[in-house]
Amino acid sequence: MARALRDAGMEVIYTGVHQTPEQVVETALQEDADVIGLSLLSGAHNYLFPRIAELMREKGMDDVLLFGGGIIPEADVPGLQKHGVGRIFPPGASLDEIAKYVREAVSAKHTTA
Amino acid sequence: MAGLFGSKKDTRPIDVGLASLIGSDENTAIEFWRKRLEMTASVPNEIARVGALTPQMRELTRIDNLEERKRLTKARLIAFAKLPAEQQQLLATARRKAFEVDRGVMDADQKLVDDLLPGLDASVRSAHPKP
Repeated sequence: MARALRDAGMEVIYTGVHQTPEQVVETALQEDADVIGLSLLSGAHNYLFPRIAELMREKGMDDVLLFGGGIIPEADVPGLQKHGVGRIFPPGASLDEIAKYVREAVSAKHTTA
Repeated sequence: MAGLFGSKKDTRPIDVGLASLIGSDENTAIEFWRKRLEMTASVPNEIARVGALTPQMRELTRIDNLEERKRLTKARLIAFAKLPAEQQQLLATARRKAFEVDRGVMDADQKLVDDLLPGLDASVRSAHPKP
């Protein structure tokens, strides 16, 4: 995923696996990231996404997009989006589609007054 | 941080989805696992499939109540048997490789599987060859 987004021309900071929500948010803050993308295969998305969203709010990261994908049932997606999470992509989602989504989301952010 | 039997100790909160199954009826548990296993089989990369399967097995071993752990493991075995053969194959391969990632967790899970399989329907037993 990181490689695909780099190939699409984005700067990607891959933090590795087993990062805590605090580590993820801190890295994004330090790197002044436009987007936090999470790949969650463990089934722990209903804890991790809301926790990261909460930390982002605490840090004033309202203009940073949080999105992701992985082993996340469709039924859980509305609940995540209520916490401010953007699109959730299922396993096997098109890398082009994901790159397009990120590009458009960031572009919209930078053109909004 | 290693656990008592050599498995990796994970101090993160338990998987909310799995935790919500505690006390659920059998059909709900089977359907939960069927969807989880389908999605895991759909992960396009083998390493990532192993990475997806292993923590889910780990989460099961974190359920303190043994009877509940057995019940949810049984539901998983039944759900697996309902999957198309191609998905079963992908998951079986990922399961074999998961032993190399976290032997302690997988040995504990296999022990439960070995205890439960003889009591299950032949169609479920045949879907679960010994690793």
